[in-house]
Amino acid sequence: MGNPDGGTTGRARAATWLAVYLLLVLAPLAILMVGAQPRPGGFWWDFALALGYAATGMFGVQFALTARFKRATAPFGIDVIYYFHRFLAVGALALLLLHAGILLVRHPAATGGWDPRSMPAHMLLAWVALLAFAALVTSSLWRKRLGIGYDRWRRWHVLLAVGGLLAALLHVHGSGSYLAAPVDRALWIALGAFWLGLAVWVRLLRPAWLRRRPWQVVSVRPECPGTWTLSLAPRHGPVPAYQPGQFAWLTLRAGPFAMREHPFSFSSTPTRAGTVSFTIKELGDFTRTIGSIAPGETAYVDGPYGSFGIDRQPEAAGRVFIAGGVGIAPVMSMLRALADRGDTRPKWLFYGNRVRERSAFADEIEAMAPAIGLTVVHVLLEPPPGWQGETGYVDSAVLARHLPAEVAGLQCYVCGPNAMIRLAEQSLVALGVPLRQVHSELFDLA
Amino acid sequence: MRERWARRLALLTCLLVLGLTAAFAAVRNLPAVMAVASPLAVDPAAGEQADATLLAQGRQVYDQNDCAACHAIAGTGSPRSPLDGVGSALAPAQIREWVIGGDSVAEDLSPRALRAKQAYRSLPPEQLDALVAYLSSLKD
Repeated sequence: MGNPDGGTTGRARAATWLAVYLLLVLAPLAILMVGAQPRPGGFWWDFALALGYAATGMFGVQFALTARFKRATAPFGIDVIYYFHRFLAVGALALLLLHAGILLVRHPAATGGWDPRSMPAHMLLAWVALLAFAALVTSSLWRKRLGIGYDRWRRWHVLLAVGGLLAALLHVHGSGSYLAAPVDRALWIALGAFWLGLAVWVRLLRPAWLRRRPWQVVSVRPECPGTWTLSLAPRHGPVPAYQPGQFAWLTLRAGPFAMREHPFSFSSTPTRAGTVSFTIKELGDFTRTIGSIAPGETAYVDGPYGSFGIDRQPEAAGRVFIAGGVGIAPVMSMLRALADRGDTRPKWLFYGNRVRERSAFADEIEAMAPAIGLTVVHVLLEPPPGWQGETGYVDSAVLARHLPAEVAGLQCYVCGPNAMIRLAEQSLVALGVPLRQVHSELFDLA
Repeated sequence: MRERWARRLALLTCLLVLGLTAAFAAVRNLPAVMAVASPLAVDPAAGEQADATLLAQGRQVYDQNDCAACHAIAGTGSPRSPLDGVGSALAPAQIREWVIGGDSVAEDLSPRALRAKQAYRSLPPEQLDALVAYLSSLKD
C-alpha cells in the first residue's frame, strides 16, 4: 500500500494485516466449500449465488475497515484505509448488482417476482439490502453534490450499513442455498455476528468507554479569520500519549453515542504536557460553531489515530513540510515537537494559502524558524500588491527553487486538500525524492 | 498516489473474488460432479394420461405455490432441482411423497426443505391431486 512506513517491521506488519484482510474477504467463499454440497444448478446459477455470498462478505469487511483498530490501520495510514473503504464499497456493489442481474435475467422464476406483497420474506430482504447498499454508495460518493450535511450523512451511513448488512444476512439465511448443513449455517451466523459485533463495538462499546473519560475545553482562541484553536484537557487523569502529526475524533456539544465526532489533527505537541490542541477551520456545519464554544464545556476525544508524523522516520537527514490552509495543524504539532527537542537538522516549510491574512501561525513559525534550521516559503494564490514571494501552487518549480540539489535523504510530510497532495507527491518524486519518503495526510475524509 | 494504491487493492480484491466465484461455479458444474449428484431413483412406473383440465389445474397449483423458487421445469425456475422427466422417474405415489415431505423421503431432504414441503400437507386434496397429476405428466 501507499507508504508502509517504518522499514521491514512496518512492511511485515502491513503484509500480516493484508493477509488477515484477504482471509476475511474470502471467508464467505470458504464457508461454501465446507460440509455437504447441494446439487449444482448450472454455472451461472452457482456463479451468481457465490457472488452474492462474496459481496455480502465484502460489505461485512467494511465494518472492520472503519472500526478504528489502531494496530490494523497504523501500517497504512487512516486516509488509505478510507480511500480503500470507498473503492471496495463500489466493487462490492458492482458484484452485488451482477449477482442480482444474473439471477433476474437467467432465472426470473426463482427470484420471487416483482411484487413486494407476494414475494417471500427473504426476497423482500434481498431488495431491501440491494437498495440500502446502493443508497449507501451513492450518498457517499456524491454527498456534497446531493447537498447532504456531514452529520446527517453519517447517521444515515451507519443506519443504512447496519440495516443493509442485516437484511443481506437474513436474505442469505432465508434462501439458504449453500447452508443446508448445520456447520455451514453456524459458520455463517458466526461471520455475520462478527461483522455486526464490529458495529456494536464502534457505536456502543467504544462510546461507552469514552463517556467515562470526559474532557473539557480549556481555551478557544482565533488564529486568523475563520480558524480557531481549541485546547482541551481530560477532566480526570493525564493526556493519553500521542505522536506529533496524529489525529483524534472530537465530539463537542453532544454525547459520544450521538455520532457527532469529527476527525482533527493535533496542532499541539506531546512535548508540552497537560492539554492538547486542535486547530479548526470553519468549513462546514460543525466547524462553523467552533467560535461559540466556551471554556469549561464538555468534550470527548477518541484517539490518537494515524501514522502521519516525524516519529516514524527518526533517522531523516532533513525534513520537508508542505501544508495547505488548515493542513498546517499537524505540521505545527511536528514543528513544535522538533523545536522542543532541539532538532537542528535542515527543514523546509512550503505553506500554501489563498491570501496572507489566512496563514495561521505565521508569526510563531517565523519566530521558531532560526533556532531549528527552518526555511519558510509562503506560497500565495492571491498575493497582495508588491509580494516578492512565491505564488500559485506548491509545484516542482517552487520546490526546486528552495530545496537543495541532493534530496534523496529528505523525508517529506504533506497535509492539505487532495489536489495539493497529488501535486506535491508528483513534484517531489520528479525532483528525485523516493515516493516512500513522501508521507501525506488528507484533511477532508468526508 | 496513496489513493491509487487503495484503488488497485480494491480492484484486485474484486478480480480475486470474481475469479474464485467463477472457479467455484465451474468446478461444481463439472460433468463428473453432475453425474454423482443426480439422486432421483429411476422407477419406470407408467402414469396414466390425465385429462388436460386437470393438468392445467396442476400447473396452476405449481405456480401459485412458487414451486419455481426451488425447482425448474424446462429451464424456468431454480435450476438445482429440475423436475423435467420426473414423471418417468417416479410413480405418482412417490411424487406425492416428495411434494409433501412424507416419511419415505424425509431422510433424503434437508431439514429446511422438509419443513417447506410439509407445509404443502395443508393443501386441499384436489389441488394436491392436480399437482401430482401435472408432475406425473412431465416425461422424458
